[in-house]
Amino acid sequence: MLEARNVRKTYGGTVALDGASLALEPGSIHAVLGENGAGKSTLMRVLFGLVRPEGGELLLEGAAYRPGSPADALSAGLGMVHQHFTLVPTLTAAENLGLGQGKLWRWTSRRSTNAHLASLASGYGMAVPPDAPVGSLSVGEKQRIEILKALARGARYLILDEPTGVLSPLEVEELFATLRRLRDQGVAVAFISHKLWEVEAVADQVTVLRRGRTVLTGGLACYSRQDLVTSMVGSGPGETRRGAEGVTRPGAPLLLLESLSALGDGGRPGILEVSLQVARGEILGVAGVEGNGQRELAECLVGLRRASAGALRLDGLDLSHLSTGARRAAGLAYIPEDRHAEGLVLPLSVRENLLLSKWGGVRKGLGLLDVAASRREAVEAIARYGIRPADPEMPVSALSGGNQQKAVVAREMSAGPKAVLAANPTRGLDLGAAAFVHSVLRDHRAKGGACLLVSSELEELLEICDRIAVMRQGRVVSVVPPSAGRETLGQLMVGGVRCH
Amino acid sequence: MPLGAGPTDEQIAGADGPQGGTEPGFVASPNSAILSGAGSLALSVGGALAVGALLMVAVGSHPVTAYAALASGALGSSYALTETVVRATPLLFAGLAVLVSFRCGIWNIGAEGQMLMASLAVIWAGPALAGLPLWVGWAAALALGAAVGAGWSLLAGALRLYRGVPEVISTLMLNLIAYQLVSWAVNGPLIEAARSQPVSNPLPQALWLPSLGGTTRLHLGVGLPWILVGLVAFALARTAFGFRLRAVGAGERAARACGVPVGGVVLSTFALSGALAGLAPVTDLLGLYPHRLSEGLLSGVGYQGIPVALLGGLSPWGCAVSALFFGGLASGSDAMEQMAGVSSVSVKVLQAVLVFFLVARPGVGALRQLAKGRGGPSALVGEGDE
Repeated sequence: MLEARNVRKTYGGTVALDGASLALEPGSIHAVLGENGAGKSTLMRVLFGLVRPEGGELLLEGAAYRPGSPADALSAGLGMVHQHFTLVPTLTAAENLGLGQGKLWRWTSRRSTNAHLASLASGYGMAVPPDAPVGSLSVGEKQRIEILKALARGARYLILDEPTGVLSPLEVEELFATLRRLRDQGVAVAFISHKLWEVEAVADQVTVLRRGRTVLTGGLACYSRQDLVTSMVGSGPGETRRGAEGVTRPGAPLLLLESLSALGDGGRPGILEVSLQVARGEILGVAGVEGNGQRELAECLVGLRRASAGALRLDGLDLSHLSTGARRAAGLAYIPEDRHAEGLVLPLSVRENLLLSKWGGVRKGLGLLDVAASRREAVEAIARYGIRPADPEMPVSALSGGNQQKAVVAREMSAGPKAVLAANPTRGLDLGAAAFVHSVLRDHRAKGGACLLVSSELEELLEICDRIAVMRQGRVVSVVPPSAGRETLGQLMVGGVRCH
Repeated sequence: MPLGAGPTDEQIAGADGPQGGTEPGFVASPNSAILSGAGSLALSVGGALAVGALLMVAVGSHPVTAYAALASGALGSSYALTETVVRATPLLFAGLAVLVSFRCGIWNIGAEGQMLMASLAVIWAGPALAGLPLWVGWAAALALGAAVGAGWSLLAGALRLYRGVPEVISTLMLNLIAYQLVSWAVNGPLIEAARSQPVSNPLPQALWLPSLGGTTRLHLGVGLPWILVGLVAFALARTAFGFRLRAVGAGERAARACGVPVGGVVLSTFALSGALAGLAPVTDLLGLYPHRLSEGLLSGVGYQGIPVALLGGLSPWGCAVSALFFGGLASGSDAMEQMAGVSSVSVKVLQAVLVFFLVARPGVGALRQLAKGRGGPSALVGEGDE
């Protein structure tokens, strides 16, 4: 049993953990639930020796446990799979596994490492190609290698930090099957999530953190869904307004994709002859298993990837040969998937990030910035979008994930776009922030704007889209209404209609 | 959606949102960051001096005497002070050149080559420029130096942009090419009339900048980099170009996705950096005896721009202070050699050790940032001055 009791940790003046407790039992899957910033990751990092707590105690099988580094945690029998993988992309799965074994100067043959991997993988029922460079594998396979890496080092307590965030629905199912097998073999599994259905699907025990404190813990069976939601967000959330405005009538086509094709990375086909229309007052969803051309589609629309054929029109204007800047000036907004790399310049302030896509608008003569005007606009946007802390000069890197996304949304929407392209805009956000992003997209629709929402979350698409296009292998295979349902969409995404 | 419910928009707009805890590693109060920044700078300088002292002991010199001589050579008299300013002048140009490129995420280590090419051009064109009216002649010489420096730098910029050649390699190679070109020129076509030494003829006297004080080497040109410090600081903070430059340096992908023409910004920054570097030797050629080009004209001033910029925290005003510091080291090292018998080479060692301390000081993590493939050179000093 691995126990954390009343752990406390602060960063500067911010309390990350205070009164966080958790008990992991062998042979059990323990979900750690909480909104963004609730302290889930920090608590896991404390257990794994990456963060040193200021108060409270850790106990491993009854004895005091004070990991000073991940190496201590590893030798104590803990393993951690991080959100961002720690694999060497040019090495094979077997070689990556060997890296974790501490045999720095010892000769190991390829055959023995492969055999080691194979025996481990079959023992836990995880299929992994041993000889391919890890960089060429899918996200799900990489994650499996990470798990195997931890197990190879003898981990009896396995911690997974938001393991499902990067996986397609199918891969999530496979992961859950793996976790169940590990549990049956006596491993204690802890996984972080903020999705209730995942927790309900796989967990035996649950701990909910809110603002750094454990507010609920125990067997999953003891709690209703309402209990979990209430303890996560603090009070019972209201009903969504679905349906109340679902009767908008889409108007004339505003954003037109005509047989758009583009190459993917490394010359592979990215998207092939994609034709779509997004009307005024419509949210068109794009569904698909991750890696089926959605990213290439988004990049192609916004001008970050060159289209090899086809045309893109916005309100009659041909955007195909325009730069990203010109497309934005023509009324296209872009909420990218990766807000850290593509949405925001992290070291710059909130004000400067808001300025980033429309600096032309606050420019005085001679190429000078109108700093006073940009500050006024920033203060206004901060108030309107509820960005906290409300300091225009705060570097965005110091904001929480939800507030960072609000800053992206504020920048994109305040330019008054005609069409909004949003790629997984709620990824990694908690319920509150995700609902906020959705409300912004709905508002845009209500005002007669067009919105193209690329998402790997079917729930999200079903909730707010008017139509959903399904992509598979770079093509749009079908466009269906949300009433088609999860099942149908899932089948379209994986291809091949299942026999009934 | 399995979670059939979420907070209403009004609730969210009103609520603080979910920032009960911030991501680890992202939290730093600005004041403590500045304090620890200044503290770690002082530690770096102190550490370098300490290592330097150990070296002197090892070679049998007396470090206290040597450092006293160094200090008096840099600050001990009004002549020493003017000499410090004179020696700081090209260093400040070089520091600014490195600064603008590093702030844009460009590892331009080619200031040396850009300077050599600029000085070659000005010496070559000198006789023609001498015929111009005084101020026009000076301005033309400076403009020529800046233009040639920019052009030499743009070679590396174009290679990076169109062929993907890392500028760390191309600028370094271009330095070697420039050095050989200068060497060839002063041994051949541009050799002095007397043909005794591999140096060029001096610039025509008509182009010499007036001296500002009797026996000192102060000349009209020493004010120029100080004006540029203000201009660069203003440009970075207040102009659209400076803003874009910083945005590209701190987050190229995001800047691109926001419509910033990254290629244009990068090329412009290469040009600006090269132009600033090009001004350095021209100012010295116009203002300092012997007004001649030789292979040893720069003796590494271009490379020293890197520690100048780093010690200055990649901020223009910080750069000015650190240029004075390095200028003082340069003028003091001559005194140290004469008075304490310690070779001025040891000051070079001192500077090199100082760079190690600067790059290795806590919280910089430059190599880790590099390994992650983001946060270009700016990561060396944190986030600059804004």
